[in-house]
Amino acid sequence: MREQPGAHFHSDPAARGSARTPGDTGFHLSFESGDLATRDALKSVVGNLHSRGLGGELVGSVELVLAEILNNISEHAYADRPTGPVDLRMSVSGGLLRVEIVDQGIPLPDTGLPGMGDADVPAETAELPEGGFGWFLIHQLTESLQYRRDTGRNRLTVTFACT
Amino acid sequence: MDLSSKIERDVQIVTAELDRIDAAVAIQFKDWMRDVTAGNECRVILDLGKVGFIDSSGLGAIVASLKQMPDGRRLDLACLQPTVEKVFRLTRMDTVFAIHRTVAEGLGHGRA
Repeated sequence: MREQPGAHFHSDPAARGSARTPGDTGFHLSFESGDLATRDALKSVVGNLHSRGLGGELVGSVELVLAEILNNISEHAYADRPTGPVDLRMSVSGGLLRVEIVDQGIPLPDTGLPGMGDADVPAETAELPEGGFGWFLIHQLTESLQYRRDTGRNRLTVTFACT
Repeated sequence: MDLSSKIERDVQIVTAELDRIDAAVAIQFKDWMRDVTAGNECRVILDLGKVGFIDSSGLGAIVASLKQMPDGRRLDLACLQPTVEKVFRLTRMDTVFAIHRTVAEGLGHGRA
């Protein structure tokens, strides 16, 4: 990979492999987790995507995937405290929109990334699931999904095709 | 409460008066639905025309709203925007609800 002096990830050797995109098209948000902060963050992300001339179904997918990821952080990674820091970096390069979300909370289970889940719908109304849709949607709507735990941080990287 | 309600042709039409059903309002939404539908026995059509975004929490709240309806009482959906319809379709929850393009279509649909 190319060396990018001053790029965000260089202070963190573990993240080098994913630091492909130089900073000039980058977008960075730093905020405390929480339902209302998530709303504000999504609004900023959507605004930024629109300013890049992106729209339609792609923006809908990005907003939904990031909502699920940020909800998971509030609910699970920071389950043991009211809020915690979240960093979100987004860039577009080579027809790929890439978003990295970093938190300092509880790691995902040892089994790593939750899978696609089960999309079978029970016949009985009483048996219908009221949750567990989040990871399913994240898998469905992303081009790729990568999780890494390093130096007390969860780093989730998702990509979307944007042509 | 960000819901409004009226009865028309023996159907209770509940309109979601908010633009997002997400983690910030999901629990309240389920409670609002219980309160607004209490005391009636007719079919309910939930008009989601003003809702431009739902996440899995919002979807869960709508499913929970269905599950808390008394036995035999229907909850239909109407006027789903494309992004909302997509969440139902991907999770296959579109097979659980009767989904109408318009409230008028939903009113006609229930007539035997």
